[in-house]
Amino acid sequence: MKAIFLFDIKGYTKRFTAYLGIVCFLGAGIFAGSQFKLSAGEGINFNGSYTIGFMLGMLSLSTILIATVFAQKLLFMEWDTRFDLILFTTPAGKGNFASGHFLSLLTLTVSGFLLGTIGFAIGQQMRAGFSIHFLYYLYPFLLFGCINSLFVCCFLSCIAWRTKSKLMMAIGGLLLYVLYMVTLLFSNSPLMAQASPQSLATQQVSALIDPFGLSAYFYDSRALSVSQRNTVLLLPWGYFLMNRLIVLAVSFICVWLGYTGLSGTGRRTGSRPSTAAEKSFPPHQAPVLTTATRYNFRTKWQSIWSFVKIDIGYTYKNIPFIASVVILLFYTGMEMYAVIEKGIRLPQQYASSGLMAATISESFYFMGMLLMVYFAHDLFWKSSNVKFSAIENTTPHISFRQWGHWFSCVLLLLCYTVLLIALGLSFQLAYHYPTIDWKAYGGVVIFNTCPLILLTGMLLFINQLVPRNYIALSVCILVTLAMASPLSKKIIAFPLFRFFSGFNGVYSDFNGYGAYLPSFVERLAFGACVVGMLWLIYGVIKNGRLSVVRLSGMLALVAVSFFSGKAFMHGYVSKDGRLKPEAAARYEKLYRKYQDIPQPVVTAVTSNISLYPGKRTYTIVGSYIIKNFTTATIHNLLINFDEHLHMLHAAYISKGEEIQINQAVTPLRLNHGLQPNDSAVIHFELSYSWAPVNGHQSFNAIMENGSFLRISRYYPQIGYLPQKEVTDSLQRKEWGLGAVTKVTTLTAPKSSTPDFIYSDMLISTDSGQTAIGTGELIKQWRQGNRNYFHYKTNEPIPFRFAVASATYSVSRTTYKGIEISVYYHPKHDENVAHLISCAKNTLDYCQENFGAYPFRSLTFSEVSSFTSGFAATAYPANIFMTENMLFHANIKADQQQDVVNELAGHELSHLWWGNNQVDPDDREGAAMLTETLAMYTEMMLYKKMHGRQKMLERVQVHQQIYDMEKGLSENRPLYKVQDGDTHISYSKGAVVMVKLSELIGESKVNEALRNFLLRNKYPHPRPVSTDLIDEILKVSEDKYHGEIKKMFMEI
Amino acid sequence: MDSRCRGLYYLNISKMNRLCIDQLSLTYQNSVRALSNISLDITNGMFGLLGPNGAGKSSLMKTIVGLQKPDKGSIIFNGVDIIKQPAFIRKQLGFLPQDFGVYPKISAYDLLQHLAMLKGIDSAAVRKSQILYLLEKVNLYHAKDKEVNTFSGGMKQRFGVAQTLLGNPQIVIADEPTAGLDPEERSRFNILLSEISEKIIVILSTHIVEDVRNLCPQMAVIKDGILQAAGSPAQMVNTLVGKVWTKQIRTSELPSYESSCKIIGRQLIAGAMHITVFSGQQPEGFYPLAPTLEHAYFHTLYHQ
Repeated sequence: MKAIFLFDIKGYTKRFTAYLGIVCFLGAGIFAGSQFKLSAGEGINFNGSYTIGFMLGMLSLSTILIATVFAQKLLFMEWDTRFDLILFTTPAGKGNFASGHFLSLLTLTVSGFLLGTIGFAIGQQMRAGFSIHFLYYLYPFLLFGCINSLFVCCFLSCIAWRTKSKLMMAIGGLLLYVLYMVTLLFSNSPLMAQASPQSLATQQVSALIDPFGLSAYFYDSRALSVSQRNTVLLLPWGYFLMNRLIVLAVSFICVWLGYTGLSGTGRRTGSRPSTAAEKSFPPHQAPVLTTATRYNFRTKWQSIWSFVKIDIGYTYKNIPFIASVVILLFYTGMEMYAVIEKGIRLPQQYASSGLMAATISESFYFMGMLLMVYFAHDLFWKSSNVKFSAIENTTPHISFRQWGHWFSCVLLLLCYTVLLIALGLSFQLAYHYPTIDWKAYGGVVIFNTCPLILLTGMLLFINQLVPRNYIALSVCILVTLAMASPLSKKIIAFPLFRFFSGFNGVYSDFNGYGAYLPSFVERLAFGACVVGMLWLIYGVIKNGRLSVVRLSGMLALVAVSFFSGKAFMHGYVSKDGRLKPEAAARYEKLYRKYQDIPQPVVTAVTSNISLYPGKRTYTIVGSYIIKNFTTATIHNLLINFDEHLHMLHAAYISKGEEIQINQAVTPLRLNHGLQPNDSAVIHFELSYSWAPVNGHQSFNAIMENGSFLRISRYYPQIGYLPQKEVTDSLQRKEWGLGAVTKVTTLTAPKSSTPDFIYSDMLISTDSGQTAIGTGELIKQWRQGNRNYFHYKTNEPIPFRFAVASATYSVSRTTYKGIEISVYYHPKHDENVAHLISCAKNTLDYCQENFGAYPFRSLTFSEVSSFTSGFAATAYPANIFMTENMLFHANIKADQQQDVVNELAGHELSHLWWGNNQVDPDDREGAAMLTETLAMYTEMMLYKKMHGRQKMLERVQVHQQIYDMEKGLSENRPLYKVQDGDTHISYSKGAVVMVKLSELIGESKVNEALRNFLLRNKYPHPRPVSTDLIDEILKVSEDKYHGEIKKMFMEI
Repeated sequence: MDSRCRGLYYLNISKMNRLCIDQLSLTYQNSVRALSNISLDITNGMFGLLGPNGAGKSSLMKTIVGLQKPDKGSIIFNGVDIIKQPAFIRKQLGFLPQDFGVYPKISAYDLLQHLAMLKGIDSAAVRKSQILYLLEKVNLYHAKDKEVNTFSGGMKQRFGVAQTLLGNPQIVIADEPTAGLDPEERSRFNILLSEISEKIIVILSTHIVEDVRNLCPQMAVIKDGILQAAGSPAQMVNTLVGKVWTKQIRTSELPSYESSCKIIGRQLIAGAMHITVFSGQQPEGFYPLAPTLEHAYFHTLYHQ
């Protein structure tokens, strides 16, 4: 054993390539350590114990690749060199042989990962400059790196020894990766947020069977606080310990199974044919010893087709293809299941074509990319691998071989595509959603199959260019990772050159893939020209002459690439990572002083918003009335325009002067100061459009259909904007900035500035679309080719307004004098009636318990999934819902989560709470007066409709969400919750408020809330969270005060 | 040389193929000199290439068929420089490499179909006829639907022979074609080659001197990449007439004879060692022997 082990190790260490390998492992580690910026949560350091743990855990997946590469040689050495017959007849038995090679494989794999870990540590230190915590790296290296290496080596050895097939072993490695991805889906991993939360039982199973231990790591670390995550090493205990022990046990079983299946010379040979004549030469057959040959288009095409037939016959009969189909379908199927079923929080999604197609795109491209690296290489080299190339390469039509291989790969990709689409259709049928949208599935072809076809052209080119088999494979892997994988975004800054990449965007029933589809095709055309040009140049160099045909081809490619590249890059804005913080730092340095300079407030907004969805553009012509509510004359005014909007014209107009505004951030020096209680006007004209090459902004999504804009965010802002400040402490230090502006503390003096506004909004949009604004719809008309809608607020509202526009179906009813309307996509009518019914219940409950509804109408509007980040959002008299979250979900399936009731209860109640009738002061605890109160109303309405038990089940889900996330950021008491702490304001808020209602009674809570509203709604000063606690304490008995304070004011 | 080759070819264009190799040299990347200034002029008929292992025969053949490029020299086939235009010879070539494999899981018939298409036989019916006829010729008709990778060594070699004749080759290059064939198949193969070589060039590399003697009107001997001799077998044998002697010796005496004589043959007959030597005068104790091509071959290899 020792002799074999030493022989193997020396074989690797004595070569020049060993040093190259060391550099590669270290380099990859340094790249990961310095570039990967996965954050588990706010306050959790990237170089803290927890993050290093799961990062190295994730990186331990690389042991699959490392071990597979080493095993390809080590475990097959005797058979490859045909030395098996000699070796296995020597006294060195199979035990020595097996253990020697296995030990070498394990040593090399662990060494590779160790080098990667060292590189990772160096990379992190380069980035942070902090002192190294040796244990933080050693610990996950042992628990993840070593154990996972052992498991992978055992698993691969088992397959290798039992099957004696390199291909089967490589597929085994791929299978391990798939298994890991599937378990991660159900593990509540922070990396798989879209599938969270999963039930505890699912997480536990996932924690036990995850072969790489990450699920168990996440499960056992769920109770850790932020500070613990930065400093404490997660001890192998509980599920983590069990997982590691199970993996060790499985490893030993694998190696034992492999060992028992090992036979020395088990190379399979084909059956020998019978030499007896089966058929005799037909007597009527004319003898043809020689025949004429031709070299025309027909024979060229026949040659290509012949290669395709040979390739297809070779590929389709082989295990790798069948295995790849099984793995691809299994993995994508699991993804589909996960996105449809969601977790325990959300209901089952409708298995729409768009959802299925987007899910296929998420998994197909990456796996297809790896498969094409394999198949392109395999098809290209199979002729020389089987030593047939000497014959084949001396035939006249050999130059068409690459066309044949390329067509074969195209057929292979089409086969995968058809199978995946069939899988999507099967899910649609199984989940009883048979509305088939072929445009969605067409996207699968455009976004996956087409770039993969292009990539294959490039891979075949590389194989053609590189003279050695394994070097060609290595170059193919590197090029694919650099140009086609998600890493390409890191490596290639210029988006035009990422033409091998796929597309992972959403599909909307409103506007399909939107402008991204034609843009993608333009880039694809550019890429096709580049690859075509490479082939042509190669042909010219190889043949040593430039034919007219080739020259014409080159000129055509140059022309097409120029126009397609130009079209794709239209409107491109460079995303230099350093420019944004630099601008923010400059802004802070120049204007932070305005925090202490009195500024006027906006009291009325008049807007004329022209939406052009077909052109993805809009313009705003608006004016503010601003008023000086301070006691001092204002001489200096800071006005901020959003940098993404184009300022056409802007001016400050007062009685005494008119000042033109030309810059996005303009400090105005008023010659005639704005006197206390005096007003002025700011007039502005803005325009906005976006280009697919830059991507759209989620809350500024002007789309062909289903647009939604939180448009007030893009209106001019007055005064210093602390939200622009750089938050990264290292960057602040680099730019010489002091401490960041802190969130106002709870005890700071309250603001009493009356900053609500009156809004008058005229919106026009394309013919056929309905525009939804903020406030009450006063009037609507059609003029020329455009539709006009006039919205106005009769009561003052906070400075928050939004706009939507789409082609809608509408359902209306009037309930107790309030007109309720639901605007929805014509195919999304399933929950409309239920939503109206829930809205009526909510109106009844809120009016009965909290006070009158402040508007004459209530409108629910569905918007495209191109807007993300919320399921629904409430604006005065208008509630907007995204199409892909709650409104269009199958609430009657499986666990019967009535999220439509939750949506109506939650969002509609916002029209009583923040930010509508009350606008909490922007400080600690503000979210308790918006989201927590909305969650309370949601829960009470759930109880009203489905009973207490069902409501408590929902509360339990929120408890689980809170438990899961509380350790991922600084845990604060509810009354000091901050904006980003949704797990506190929503989930813990719901738990606390329901607990409160159980403690003092629902009616008492409602009484407190009614009182709170009466005393704090506009124009009363802005409330803070303790105002609500005071009201609760007032209506509750003294004996509960301690408990109430504990619930709200302690963690 | 180029112009001479071209001129001669044009004169004989209607009846003769011609391959002119001039000053051909090839050195591999590992500095091994495979060919050194090889010059040959080959026309229709069989041309035998003799040489020990590693002499450069396979290198020469691979260079002719365009699988590798020489460092210097030229190869003119029917007036065309095929180093610059390898496609020209490929259209008229049948090549049987020394050691070749096949795609797995493909029948002999299908694989020949594939090669026939690559050779430009466009008619399906003609393709089929020729493939079946060639399979019959190499005694593989009965196994036409069997996967070639399951063939025995001899069957695979016969398959290789069949594929060289696909289309209408004007030059067939066969590297050790009879290796692995039993005597009957070897004979069948030799007859086939002889049949086709009347109208085309057939270059045959082999270790078996007897095959060259029987088949080839012209031949060359290569050693260490250098052309040692070229001509007809008869010419080469004639140079040894009256200079070949033989004697029975004890095996233990062999070293002393090796140092004192130019041994060109050694043979065991009924267990007794007989040596053959080259000498202008009859050595003492030796008897005259009629020279053979094998004697000429060894004489060329070791004593010229």
